[in-house]
Amino acid sequence: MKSTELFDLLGEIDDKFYIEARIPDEQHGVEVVSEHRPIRGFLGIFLPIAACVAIIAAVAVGASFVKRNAGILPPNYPDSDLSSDAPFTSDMVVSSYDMSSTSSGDSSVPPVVDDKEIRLEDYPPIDLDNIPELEGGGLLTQIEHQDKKLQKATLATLKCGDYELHMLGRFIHTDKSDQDELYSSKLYSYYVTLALSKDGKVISDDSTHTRSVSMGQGGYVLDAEQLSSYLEYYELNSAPLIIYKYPSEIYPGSIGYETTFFSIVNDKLVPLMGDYSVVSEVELDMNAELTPSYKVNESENTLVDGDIAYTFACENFGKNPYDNAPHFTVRNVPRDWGDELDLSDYPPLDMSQIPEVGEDIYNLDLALPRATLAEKQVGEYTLSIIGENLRSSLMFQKDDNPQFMVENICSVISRDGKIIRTVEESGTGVRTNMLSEDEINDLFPDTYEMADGIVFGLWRKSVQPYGEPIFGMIKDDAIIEFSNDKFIAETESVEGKITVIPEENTLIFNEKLKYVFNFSDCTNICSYTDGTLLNIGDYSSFDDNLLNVNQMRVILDVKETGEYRFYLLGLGVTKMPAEEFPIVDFAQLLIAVEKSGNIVAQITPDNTSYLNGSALSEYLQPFDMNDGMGFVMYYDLDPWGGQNRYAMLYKLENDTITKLKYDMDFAPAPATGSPFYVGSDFKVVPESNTIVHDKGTLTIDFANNTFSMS
Amino acid sequence: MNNDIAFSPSGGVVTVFEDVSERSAAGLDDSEIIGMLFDRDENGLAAVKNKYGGYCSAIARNILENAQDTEECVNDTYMRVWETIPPEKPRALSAFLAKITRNIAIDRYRREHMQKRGGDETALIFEELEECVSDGSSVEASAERHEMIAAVNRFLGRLPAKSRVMFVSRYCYCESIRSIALRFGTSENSVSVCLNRTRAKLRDFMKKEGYEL
Repeated sequence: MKSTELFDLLGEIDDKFYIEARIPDEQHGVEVVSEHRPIRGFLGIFLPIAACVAIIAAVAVGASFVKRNAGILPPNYPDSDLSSDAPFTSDMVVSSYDMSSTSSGDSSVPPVVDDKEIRLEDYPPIDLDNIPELEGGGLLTQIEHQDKKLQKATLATLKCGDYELHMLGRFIHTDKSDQDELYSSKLYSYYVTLALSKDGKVISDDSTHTRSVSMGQGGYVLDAEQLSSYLEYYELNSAPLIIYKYPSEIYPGSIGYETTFFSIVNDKLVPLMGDYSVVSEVELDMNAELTPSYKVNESENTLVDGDIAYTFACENFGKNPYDNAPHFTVRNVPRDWGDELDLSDYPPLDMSQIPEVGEDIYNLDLALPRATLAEKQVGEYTLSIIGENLRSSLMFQKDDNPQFMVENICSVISRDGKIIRTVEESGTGVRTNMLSEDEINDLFPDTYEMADGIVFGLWRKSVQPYGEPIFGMIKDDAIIEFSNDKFIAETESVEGKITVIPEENTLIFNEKLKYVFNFSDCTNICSYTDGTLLNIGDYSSFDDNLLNVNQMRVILDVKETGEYRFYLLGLGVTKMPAEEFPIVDFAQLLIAVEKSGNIVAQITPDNTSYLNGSALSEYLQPFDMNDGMGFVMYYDLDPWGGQNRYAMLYKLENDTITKLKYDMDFAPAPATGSPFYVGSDFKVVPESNTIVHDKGTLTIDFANNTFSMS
Repeated sequence: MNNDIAFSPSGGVVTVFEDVSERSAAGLDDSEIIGMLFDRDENGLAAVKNKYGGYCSAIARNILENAQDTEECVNDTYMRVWETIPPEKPRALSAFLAKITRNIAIDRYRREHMQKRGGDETALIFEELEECVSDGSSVEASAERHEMIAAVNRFLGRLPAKSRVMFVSRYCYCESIRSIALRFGTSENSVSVCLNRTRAKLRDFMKKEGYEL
């Protein structure tokens, strides 16, 4: 089959999937936010082999999951009534999806539930022997025929101290024609709500049942015989913990749980958000993916699932997690290699020794127990990549890139057999990895040979961490790591450009940070390479008539507001003709602010990788308001993206430029720092500190570096 | 009041939409719109345009990346709707329109890109799907094709909702990764990783189902 044939095939998938994923409508202005939480981006696996790893992991540790067909936490659209000072409750997870262009008669639109108050008496315990049977179509059936379904029922109830937690369903049916081996008995419920009651009266709920409509996600598929297992209650040291887990699977045998944690604070059911920054590029997330083997330790406030540990900060429950108050933190529980590691137990790998295990991929008795996958000498130090339980399977082979399975990969630095440093490189949450021979070498730590010694790049190679790279040196067979947190001014990939000046024992990272290493006392000095602001005299006017010619330093646009002059500058700028519009390519963009002839501030704005040459004067738009000044910097002005005019907003105060954040950024979406819609021909209203555009009004709060939308 | 041009069944050009304001057309139920089309009422097309014009344009633009082609493609969609309803009576008009628009747009894309590859979003999508296929024999038998589509539906049905929406947005709506990332409030890298995994899962799933893509 050709890719184009597969493409055609995908064009004929079931209507319900088109409906579910319906893209924003240019005409009716459906808002852009449609996801309810940052994606749990477990990049703690080898990205080049991520797909295979995911498959393996799914079978091996049950770490793949089918999420519920409708999330317990719905697509999110921030509620403009909320302030950032408000306590974080489930009520904040709300949606104001515009349903105006649809109607109840539209067969493609899920039913709208408009309950204001949940009364338990409306939800009798479910009678599994009397559920309406609607044959055919599973999810699509859920969208339709709502009147033929069991309207309301309590699916499960769990005692939680003085409270009771109820799992309430709406529009419930079964479809015996759609059973499969994954469920003992399938039960469909279009909505599932968690309601907290005390003394028989509902006092709080997860506030989601009317909001999942916007994604048309198609309802929940539950196991009728396992309803009581969806909720768990624990009493941590100083707070209750509720686990809502939605079990499902992609492949037979790979059962896992899509999980959301809740607690009860001041009679409120509050969702918990975790700090995943140690294991993922996503900082905060409501979602946890658990395998069946997880264990909760109530006295230690932890949940440990394989090599992932969730530590709950009970004192933060109910607080705004984006205000340095994450409700739990997630970290690896790396294997303790300790002093027991003996490299001689890991003989050099002979690829021909890796057993072919066919489909019996998890029978570790068949595997090669240990091997040194690769080894190299750097000065007096030996760098080794070791692994365990090696085996291969034709199930996962690619002709041009044969891969094998390996567990517990570890990167080791040693000298004459003495272990100096070990770093587990198996990837976060994934023990079994697919590797090809070529990929092994990617796991070696980077090394930089200087005049006086060796500097090591000590970040994990199997993950994609962000931030300034960590360098280290070895003294007396001990590793000394250098981190320079105070210099982390922006998010950078550690895979940035590193320039080595051996004779000066110096590294330069991304042309910004300069590290000078002193091998005599094992210290380093880190400094910015460009300690001074740019000189506008180095920049010439952009020549619009030059095509395909690199213009090194140019002024792309200038705007004046009050006593300030705002420059849009480009480095390495090339204008290229194109069919739709002239493309202005650049190596780097800068915005500089001049006052009284001196540059007082400069930033590198977030932008697409090129500019629209016919709209250069539209990108940078300063504003001066009653409470302060700043500028709009458009992210994208492609003509075909004209309906999506996204921009960043910045404030200029005391010669400092600050990127303004959307005041609902503490909610799960949109992500902090995302470009925000600012319609064309917007109008600045200084008196109200607002920017009025065709789809709304942005009000800037200069004091708090935020803006709100109405 | 919005006067516009639409295709007449006879192939000529007629001015329609005089009786249906944008607002009222947009407010019509799909069943009413389909009813108008069954009655051969050209205002049904006006209603389609007003209610779903932007939606169709977004799909076409994702594939064609060209304003003029997009406009022509969407007009072709309206024409195809007029030609196919009746006898077709779509259960979900939005999905029906999405599929028609996608097919017309991709036909146009292929005509215009027969001699060149690469450099645009649709070419990227084809390249991504290359990872799922073996470039072996074509699926020509309609019965097998039908079964494969059913298998893909089963696969999609078992995916996590987020992965499924991303996958469909990318490979059915041909939405750019950046746009998906914006919609989901996440990074382009996260979307790419998710899509990469889902493609691998699709390949594996289809293999388990006995299909060699």
